[in-house]
Amino acid sequence: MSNKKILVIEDDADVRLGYNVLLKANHYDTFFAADAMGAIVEARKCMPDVIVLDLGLPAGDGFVVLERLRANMQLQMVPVIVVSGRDLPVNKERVLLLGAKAFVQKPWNDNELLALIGKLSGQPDLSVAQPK
Amino acid sequence: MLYNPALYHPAPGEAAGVSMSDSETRRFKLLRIYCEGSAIAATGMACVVLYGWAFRVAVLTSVLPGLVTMKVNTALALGFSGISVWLQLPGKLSSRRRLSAHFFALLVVLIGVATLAEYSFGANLGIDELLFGDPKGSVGTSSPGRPAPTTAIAFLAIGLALMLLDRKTKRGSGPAQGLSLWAGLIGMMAITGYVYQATVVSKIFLYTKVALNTAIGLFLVSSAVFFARPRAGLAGDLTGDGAGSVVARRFLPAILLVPVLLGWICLRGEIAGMYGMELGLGLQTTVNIVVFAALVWWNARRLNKEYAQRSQAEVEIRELNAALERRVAERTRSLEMLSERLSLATAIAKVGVWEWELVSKMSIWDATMFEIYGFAPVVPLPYEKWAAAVLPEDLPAAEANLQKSIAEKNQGSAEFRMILPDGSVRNISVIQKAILDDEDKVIRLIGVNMDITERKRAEEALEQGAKDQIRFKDEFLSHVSHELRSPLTAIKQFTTILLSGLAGELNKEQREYQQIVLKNIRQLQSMIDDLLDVTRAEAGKLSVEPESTSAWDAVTDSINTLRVSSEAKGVSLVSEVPPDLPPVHADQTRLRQILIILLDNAIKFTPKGGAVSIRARLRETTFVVLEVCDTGCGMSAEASERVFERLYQVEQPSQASRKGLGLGLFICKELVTRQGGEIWVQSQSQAGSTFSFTLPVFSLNNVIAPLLKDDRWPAESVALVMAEICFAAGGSLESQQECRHEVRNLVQRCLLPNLDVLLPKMSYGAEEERFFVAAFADEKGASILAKRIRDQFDCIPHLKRTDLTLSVTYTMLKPFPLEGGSSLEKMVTTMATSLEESIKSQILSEGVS
Repeated sequence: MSNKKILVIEDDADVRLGYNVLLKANHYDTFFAADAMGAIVEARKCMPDVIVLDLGLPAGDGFVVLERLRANMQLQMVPVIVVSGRDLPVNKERVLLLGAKAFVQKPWNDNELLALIGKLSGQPDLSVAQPK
Repeated sequence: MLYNPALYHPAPGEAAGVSMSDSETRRFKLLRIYCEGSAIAATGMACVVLYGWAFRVAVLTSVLPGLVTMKVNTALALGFSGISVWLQLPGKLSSRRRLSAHFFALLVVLIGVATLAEYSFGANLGIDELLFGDPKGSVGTSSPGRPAPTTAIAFLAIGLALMLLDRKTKRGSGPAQGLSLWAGLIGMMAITGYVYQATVVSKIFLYTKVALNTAIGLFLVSSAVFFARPRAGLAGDLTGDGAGSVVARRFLPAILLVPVLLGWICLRGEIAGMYGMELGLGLQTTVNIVVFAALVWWNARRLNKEYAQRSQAEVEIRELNAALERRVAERTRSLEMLSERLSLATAIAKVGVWEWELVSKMSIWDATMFEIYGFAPVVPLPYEKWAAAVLPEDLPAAEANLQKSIAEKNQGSAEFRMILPDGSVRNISVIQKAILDDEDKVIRLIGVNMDITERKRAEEALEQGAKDQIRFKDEFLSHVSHELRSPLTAIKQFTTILLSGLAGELNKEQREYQQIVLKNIRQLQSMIDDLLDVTRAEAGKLSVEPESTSAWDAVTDSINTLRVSSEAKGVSLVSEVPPDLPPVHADQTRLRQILIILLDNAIKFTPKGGAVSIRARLRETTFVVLEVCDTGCGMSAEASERVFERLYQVEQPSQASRKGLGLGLFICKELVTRQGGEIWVQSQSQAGSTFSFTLPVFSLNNVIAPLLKDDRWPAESVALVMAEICFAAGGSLESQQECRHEVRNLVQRCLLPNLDVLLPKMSYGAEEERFFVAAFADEKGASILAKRIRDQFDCIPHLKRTDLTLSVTYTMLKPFPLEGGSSLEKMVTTMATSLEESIKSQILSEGVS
């Protein structure tokens, strides 16, 4: 069974690197995009199993990306986890309405995020690295 | 001739529009008495004479024996004249009295005319001895029983005078007084004749002589007639207050008496042969001159004295007047200055002054008012014109303010907006006062108007500025805390990566240090969360979703969360909360947040070996009180008071632990208040603190109260809809939780706002899988709602995919026993009770089946 593909859309290079280390260690294939435009292009190319989306992005924000994904026939069924430093109550409602599966507040708890990704991608729990 | 009763019969105390002096009043009173007396005396004399004739007492008909007798007709005429005068005296004159007076006067005239006719034509009409016979050859009588011709003329004059008493010629003199003077002259002449015993005078007339008593009677009657109207004509000249009248009054008695008396004395002397006629005449003239000259001197002196007094008085009055005028002028000037100052002040301050007359509904405005309203000055200004200028939506309040002042008879004030003729809107402030009349009724309002547009604008700008500032601060805080999260994310990410050994195994020390980094990251994270919560609290956006919550669960959760840190510090952490506490109406997450803040604080301020405990109790069955006690350092009274303030921090120099932002307790207070509770602290320095807060015990009332607000009760029936999910055996607990959540959202989506309410979780057992909806609907509405929920469920594929089944049922609530005029509170209770019973019976029947 091949690894599940995760597309991370995040404008902060450091955070992208952090994702890469964490997800690779948990046996995921990672793909990255740094802005809204690139997100759709990358998603079409790689056809991910789960998309992790930051809300604050250059060239259109995360909401735009969500809408575009919903409008795309191939991508509309891909589960999206929104990860944001923005206020929870207002934004959570909105992203869930736009079809996102979950909203995770930055900075997140690695265990929770991994569990969520695992569940949504359908990958069995193989986590090897967890903070103690 | 004109007849004007008002002129001749002035009302008592009023003399042709001039008020009377005291002396004048007395004078007229005396004159009246004199007239009345004369009239009665004349009538009396006539009666005596008639008596004499009737009973042949000769002496009664003439004054002295041997003198000419008063004839019967003369006596009658005299008597009638007396009665007529008496009847016509001023005071109680009525038309009946006047008529009878004129009748008697007419008789007098007839007697006079008839007698004169007899003399003129030498005929005897047989009237002379109609009543009593006159013996032939009576003294001085040409024809028996016939009055003297002079007497007849006199009575004719008197009779006419009596009839014309209140007539006036066009030139203004009354004929009555002239006629009475004639009669008086005749009487006077006869008396003089008797005084001088001048037969010559009597013999001029070959006819019957005038009797002495007739002469006296004539004099009396004619003088009474003369003075019957004392203010009019010739009599008025004598009776007035003027200097002329005074002089006339002083001279007249002397003129009437002195010559007669002197003549008589001289004549007596001559007859006695003391001196010759020439000497006598000379003496008489000299004495006359002396007496009158003395009289004139005396008079002149008195008049001069009076004149001097009067001019002195006049000078005084003039001076008084001048002084008065000076004072009035001064007062006027100061008033003018005052009013000028006032109008200057109002003009500069742009204060318009108005007066509103309530009866006429007209207003008088000053120039500033017209300037404020942009009207062309109109005085008086109709009320409607003002009302039309006021902004229509402000008019009712502006009018109510005026009416309130009228009703309460006091001062009032208001603000309203008005439209200038050019269409711009101005803000006006009005202050008015009710003005009362003597009967304590409001007759008008006086007030001022001020154009406060500029002030208002400044206020609004200030307010807007403050709002902008707050919004800016909120946005700034929100932005900053959001931006802080991004780097924090990266820090936490890599710390976690290092700790998880993804970048190679760490040695013990490295791991320990990384743990410290992680701990501090968590602290920073919670500070940022607090900051955001405070920002939300200030914007009123702190989200709180109360439901039926178990306080025991929340307490246990919180203690579990903090157990690690309390153990690390060596502080014991105990819950004394009984598990059978009734559920509270609170937001589960927020309740945990409160408890964690309080426990965290307690642990922070309690030294090693101390204890932190949570207790709970019920207060009046409506509130649960939760208490977090510690054995820490406590705080001062001042600190206890201020501890819930934002950014307040207790001074704890000895405490090594970091302070934090000082927002935790502020957030606690906000959250508790938002959930309908209150929070307080009891503390003593060095003796620990107890933080207590209350939460309302859950009751259905709170949930359904908003539904009943719209006066919907009791028009509609209420249905209880129950959606129940059933999991197939197996499946993870987590996915079940997820499904429950999803179904709950689904049900929520199907409800109509304001009509249906999804009841929160209640501790009736097995309710994790049951969702109750109270719906204002009839049977049909309830079935539609149930169908809608089922349809929605079928639309969600992944819910269908799981082995989840959903059943939706509904029951109609029994009609509520209603009493008229029930309060909202009572209705809520009634409905809640009914719902609760229905839910319990549902669960019970489930259990049985």
